[in-house]
Amino acid sequence: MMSFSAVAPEIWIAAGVLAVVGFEALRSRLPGNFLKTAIPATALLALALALIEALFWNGASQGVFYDGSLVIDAFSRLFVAAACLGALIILFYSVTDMERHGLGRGEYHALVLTATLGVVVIITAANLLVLYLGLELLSLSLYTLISIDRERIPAAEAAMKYFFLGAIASGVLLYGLSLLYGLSGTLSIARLSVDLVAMGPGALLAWVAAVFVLVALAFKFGAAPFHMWVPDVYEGAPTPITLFVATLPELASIALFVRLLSSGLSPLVRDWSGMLIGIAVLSLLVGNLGALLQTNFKRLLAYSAIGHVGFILLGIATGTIRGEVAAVYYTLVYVLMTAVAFGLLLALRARGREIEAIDDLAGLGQSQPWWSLLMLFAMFSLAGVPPFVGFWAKLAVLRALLAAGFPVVAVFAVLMAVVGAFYYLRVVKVMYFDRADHPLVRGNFSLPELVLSLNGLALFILGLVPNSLWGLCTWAIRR
Amino acid sequence: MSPSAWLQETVFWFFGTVLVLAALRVITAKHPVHAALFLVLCFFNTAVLWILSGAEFLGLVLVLIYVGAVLVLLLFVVMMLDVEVAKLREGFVRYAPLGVVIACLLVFELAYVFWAHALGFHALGHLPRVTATHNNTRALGTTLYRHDLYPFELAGMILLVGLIAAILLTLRRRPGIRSQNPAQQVRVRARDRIRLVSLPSGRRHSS
Repeated sequence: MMSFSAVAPEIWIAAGVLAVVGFEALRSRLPGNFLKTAIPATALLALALALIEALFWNGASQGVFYDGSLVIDAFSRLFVAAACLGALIILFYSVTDMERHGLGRGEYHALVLTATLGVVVIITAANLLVLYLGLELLSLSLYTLISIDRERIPAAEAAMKYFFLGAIASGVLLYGLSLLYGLSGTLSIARLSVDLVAMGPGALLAWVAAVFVLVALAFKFGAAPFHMWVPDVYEGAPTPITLFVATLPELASIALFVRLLSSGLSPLVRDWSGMLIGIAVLSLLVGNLGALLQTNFKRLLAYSAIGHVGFILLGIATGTIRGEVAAVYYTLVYVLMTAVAFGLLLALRARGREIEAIDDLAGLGQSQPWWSLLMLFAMFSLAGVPPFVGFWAKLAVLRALLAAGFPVVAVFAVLMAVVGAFYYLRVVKVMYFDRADHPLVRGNFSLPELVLSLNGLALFILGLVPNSLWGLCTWAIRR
Repeated sequence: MSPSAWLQETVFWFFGTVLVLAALRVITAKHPVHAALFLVLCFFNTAVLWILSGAEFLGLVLVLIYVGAVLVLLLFVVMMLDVEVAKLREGFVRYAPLGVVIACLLVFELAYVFWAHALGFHALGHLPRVTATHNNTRALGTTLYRHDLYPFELAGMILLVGLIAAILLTLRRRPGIRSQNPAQQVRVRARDRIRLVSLPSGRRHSS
């Protein structure tokens, strides 16, 4: 079935890319001031239009389109909207910062748009080929975005590491997918699961394929023991890029897990569930213990990301619908929290406070009371302190684990969450109790900072009404 | 033998012979540029053979892509690098055994395929019989632009990302580079370049 409305978000984003590239090509002929506003405005407009199109999908527009290439279902509707909204907010936070550091040219906006396009393609993929193409579109854009500040050596190092490891992971995934194709003779994810059921349990080759797929997905998600790139990339990339890398690809990763593992490879759940539990437990261990030793704030957040990925994977590993909903819920919440944490770093940078080490946060409680409060929200939410939304996410995963009969793993996850609480609270302690001579700074809010404030407050408000987002996730995952 | 079959045979043997001879010259030619040009000849002949066997689109693409793009690039590289031919020819005896082994393997594999087919093993699957009305180009077009339209467009986006990334990572705008601007060069007037200074024509100083 051909339908333009099914690919409307993709079309708008792609049109945005082409428009931005066109503006950049005409740079020498157009006035500089016009370009300075036109390029970000085009990118933001493209994302906003894509978001609106995604919101206008309704039950009638659901189905499989373009000869089984993409599927519009409840999950697509929720996640495409989330991805477009996320990209919109992230671009909004980071435009002025990139501009100030001389990196805000058209290439940056074009690559952010193509990365978003990749995320959207992965979310709606109904076919292994499309899934892989979306992943490549996302990965190639990310490699380039990380090294966008090419004069800085750490950024180049991070980009090289990510590129080599990412290329290997892509190859591994492709190998696994080709094995699946060889086994079933179909690229369609829906038919794949049917064919795997027909093959019966214990097919060795299917198991091998599942291992390949799982390893590649774990790498893309940054789960231990495939997490080596995460801290370097978070630290090396410019902060606005870190904000992007830390949030939007997580949506793509959970979509990969939901589409490929929970749907396509669902007949092999016995095979991959155990492996996934192992990966998740290791991620919890590496992430939370590794974060204890960090002095750099971005590296701290990187290790905390690994720990959170462990939690998310635990939800998937249960192999139950409830666990899947919990994982999806956790991912959305995590993206919301991380956007606040990195967005605050950008807001503080705009006010002359460069935060590299954790100690740089000292005395922030006195000099920047509002931003400190929001940082406290983010840290408490990441740690899982009760009124905040992060608590409900952790609770959902733990309940799914108990319901699926993994009490030992649940206890271990709680222990690791307690360890994790230590370093989040240490950030709060440094902010409020360590003295430093910074005067109280007052400044007018810009529009992005207003959005950032709302984003921070959402962590608290969603924590008071946890069922709203939970209801959406349940609706998205129902089969 | 019908006239058309006779024509087919003749065309096949003619282009086949030229192909083999050209291929031999590719590996025996002294100069790498000559070798590359013989490779062009090889591709042309192969294209004719492919068209003869009904794969007209592949034949055209072979000429367009391999002759038009790949080999031109190869020729540029060969001409720019100024390869020392004598050095390349060293060690023929040393590498000859390996070459012979690989050649034998290739011959064996080819022979096995034909032999297995002749004996009736159909592990390779049946090649679809091409009817006279079958149109390769149309079939490829239908696959690419209808069935796989969405992945095809996505591949285009990936290429665009590659383009942007290559420019972003390698293009350096260094200040102070002297580059030519042909438009300005054409528009220049004599008075922009030459300043006529009237010097008093004096007598020569006597020293």
